[in-house]
Amino acid sequence: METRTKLRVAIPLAIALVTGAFINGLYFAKKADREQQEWILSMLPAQPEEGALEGRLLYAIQGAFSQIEKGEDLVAATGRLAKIYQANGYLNEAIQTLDLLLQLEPENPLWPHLLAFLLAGYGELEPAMELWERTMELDPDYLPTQLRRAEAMLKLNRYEDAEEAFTIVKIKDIENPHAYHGLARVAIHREDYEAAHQHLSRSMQYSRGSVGIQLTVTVLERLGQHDRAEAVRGMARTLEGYSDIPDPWILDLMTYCYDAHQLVSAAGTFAYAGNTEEAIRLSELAIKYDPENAAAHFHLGNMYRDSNKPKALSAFETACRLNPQLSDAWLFRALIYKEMGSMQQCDELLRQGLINCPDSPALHLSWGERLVEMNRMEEAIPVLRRSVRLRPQEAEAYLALARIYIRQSKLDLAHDITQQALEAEAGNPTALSFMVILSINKKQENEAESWLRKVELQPRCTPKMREDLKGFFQQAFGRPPKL
Amino acid sequence: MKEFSILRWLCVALLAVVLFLAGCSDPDKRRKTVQRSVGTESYTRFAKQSSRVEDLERYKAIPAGAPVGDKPWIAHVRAVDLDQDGLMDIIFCEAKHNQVNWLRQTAPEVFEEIVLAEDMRAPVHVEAEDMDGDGDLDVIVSSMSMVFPNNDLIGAVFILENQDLKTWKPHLIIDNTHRVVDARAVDFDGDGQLDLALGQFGYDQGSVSWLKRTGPWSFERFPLLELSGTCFVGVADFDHNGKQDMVALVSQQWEEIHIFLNVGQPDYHSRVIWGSTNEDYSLSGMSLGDVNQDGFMDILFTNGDGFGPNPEPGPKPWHGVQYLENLKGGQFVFRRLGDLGGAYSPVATDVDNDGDMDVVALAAFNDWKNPNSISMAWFRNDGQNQWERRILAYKPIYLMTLDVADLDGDGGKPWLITGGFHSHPPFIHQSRILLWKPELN
Repeated sequence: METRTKLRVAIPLAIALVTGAFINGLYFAKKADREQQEWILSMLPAQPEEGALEGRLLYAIQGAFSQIEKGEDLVAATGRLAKIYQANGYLNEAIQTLDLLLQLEPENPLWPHLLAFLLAGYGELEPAMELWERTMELDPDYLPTQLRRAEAMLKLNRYEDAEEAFTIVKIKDIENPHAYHGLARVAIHREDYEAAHQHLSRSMQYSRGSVGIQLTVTVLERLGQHDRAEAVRGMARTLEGYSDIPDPWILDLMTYCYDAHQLVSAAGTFAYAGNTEEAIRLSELAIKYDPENAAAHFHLGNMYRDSNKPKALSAFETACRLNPQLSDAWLFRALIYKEMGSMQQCDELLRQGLINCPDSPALHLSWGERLVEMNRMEEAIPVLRRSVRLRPQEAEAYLALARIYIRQSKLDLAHDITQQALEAEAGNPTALSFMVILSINKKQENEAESWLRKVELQPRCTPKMREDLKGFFQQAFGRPPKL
Repeated sequence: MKEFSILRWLCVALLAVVLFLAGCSDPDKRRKTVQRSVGTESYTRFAKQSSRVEDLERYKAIPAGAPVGDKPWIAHVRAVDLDQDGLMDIIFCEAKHNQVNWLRQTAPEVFEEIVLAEDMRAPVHVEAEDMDGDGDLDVIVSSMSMVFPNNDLIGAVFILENQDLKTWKPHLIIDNTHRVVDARAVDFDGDGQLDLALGQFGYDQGSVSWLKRTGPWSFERFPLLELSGTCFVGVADFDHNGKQDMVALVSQQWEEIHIFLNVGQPDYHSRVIWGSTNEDYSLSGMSLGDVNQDGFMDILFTNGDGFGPNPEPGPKPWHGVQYLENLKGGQFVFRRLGDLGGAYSPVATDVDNDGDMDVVALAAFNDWKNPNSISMAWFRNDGQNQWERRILAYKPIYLMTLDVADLDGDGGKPWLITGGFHSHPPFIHQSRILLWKPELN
């Protein structure tokens, strides 16, 4: 056949093929979309009825359903629905929707991660492990998944696997405190306390002391370093707590949350992790959804305490109005006025706070301290004693009393009350320094030296405090202390 | 030429139609591709809604002992025939008033409250055993000294020596230690003397230990696990090797259950048998029972602790009741019974007397702003280990501790005994000790 004839046949044939395929594609795609949409709707949990849920949540769920019913971006709408369910605590519905998403979008690592987190939250670790492994295949660089899987291995008594998994995270992120903490747990299981101590030192170093402090005490005890253990125990009071694995995919769920209580909890988590901006955003969101939520206003005030005092005062004031029993809201308002030098307003708020919260140890303490500042010592003593009775386990009120007795030269009383402060909080730096000073004043050389040794071992005592106390000792006894 | 061209274009159009029809021959193609791409089993089996069937007439609540007073803190109740007169009694801890008390059944269903000991430093757990081998029951007291968070070494264990049912001489067994939450007597080393299993919550540090008996009222401590947050210990021969093993429920950020299998005299093989990576899982209660009646002890537990990292205590969707089924040989498998917000104090008992084990649990930290929040529920076992939640009570609220016993001695359905712990608002619907008498046949 001639080339021209060949073209005459081939061109129409090609056009026919393309047109047929195009029309076919259009028809097929539309039909498949319709069928997929019907299938999605059949697999989703039933739509909540009007009045069954709080307005905003209901609208959000209905919005996602409506998008699916219209056939608009089916996967995205289903994904949004899953996040809304999970973020607002409708976990059975979330499981059902996420299970569907695993099929709709099997290459997206987010869905198995969210479902694994949810199932592990119920205690179902085996299926969660499967899902985290799937997430890792899809996104090998998302470290929170690897850490959560490694943690789950610890819970499943798979220490060797956990060690390998934590080590991989450590290699990828050399400053990851959770990896070191996990490795420390493996080492403790093997009773290798030296290795555990090394790992914990790193986890403490890379988390500003928030990850690993609890185990550090135990490990130091095991290593026979009782003094250091005791010192770290004291430190745990200020660095108390434990931070969960930072997991942006999980934290992003809060964007879909309409429950003020959960938003406030999440804001607290962000604040703890040092992310004030996000904490403020979530607190404001909580207030938007529940303007009468005193805890949300209180949290917001807390977030603004350092950066924006007028906003902090306004938020605390609202919190006090909504819940007058929120003693810290009164206290923090008063303290802000004190920082601003408005003592009259500070005192008035402390008085109002005590009327509304007569059993608040912190308000009694602050009022007692104000009375001391106003040189009304005899009035301050019963107020501070009340604070001690209400919260005997904390040293502050004892020490405020000790300061009064020192000023009044009642050194025996000061000694006794400082001793009580140390019983309440072993290793309190101020109490230790008081004991040094009181011993020096009483010319008790050996006792002063003994207290100075405790100061040396206490990491919360600053270098300046140590040097000053050593200087007092030298002045009093004509020689440097033997430490 | 023109005819040829028309014919040609007709052919083209026909071909297009044929292709179109051919393409439509498998309309499920795309959907099947999606479904096939996973092809594994569905996770929807984990989505279970617990029922809200009411069963409010099953029990009648009868207050016993002293009046409720102001915000009682009943931390633990234990049913035991303390005076061994054939009538079941109750011993309990009043943590706020530092008391261990005895509700003595002096005649059928008549109870008299007696203070066994004061100054017990926030007692939170009591057990009764004959610790000195003189034939009567003594009382073991676990003391935290402070119920709310504190990491000081302020825990203690006392044994109240029963001298004549009127005098209970306190022996301080350990002191200046992590806060103690559970001490139970058992002969671990087979020397014929009762040792102690010890759970210490502490706060930042805590532990699980066994205490070897070294003298009439002295013990030597052997730590088995050093983690904070132990709430309960349990003792049983889980692997049927003739030796007493231990389990411990460890809360705080760990949220784990550990077993200590006694393989020597005693030498323990310890390992974690279950855990959650959810740091807010809120483990709150544990007891032992042969739930599936296969002769091997299972481990029931709840999650619902209200003292977590939240602004105020309250329920979470994952709170509930579950057990670890003992698969023999020291292996366990997790079985969820159902949801219960703020769940505490699970106990296995045959509530309906139908021959299989049901489970009763409390909802201490439920949403008490909502009057429809459950305070106590039972999980009915249909005999095939399928569980249906049934609501026993909406109030009183803040029920924290539960025990079951045949208080009237008729061998019938079990009575329930609850204690109220009112540390948080709202301070409404308060109770102290309640005896729940079975009413339905």
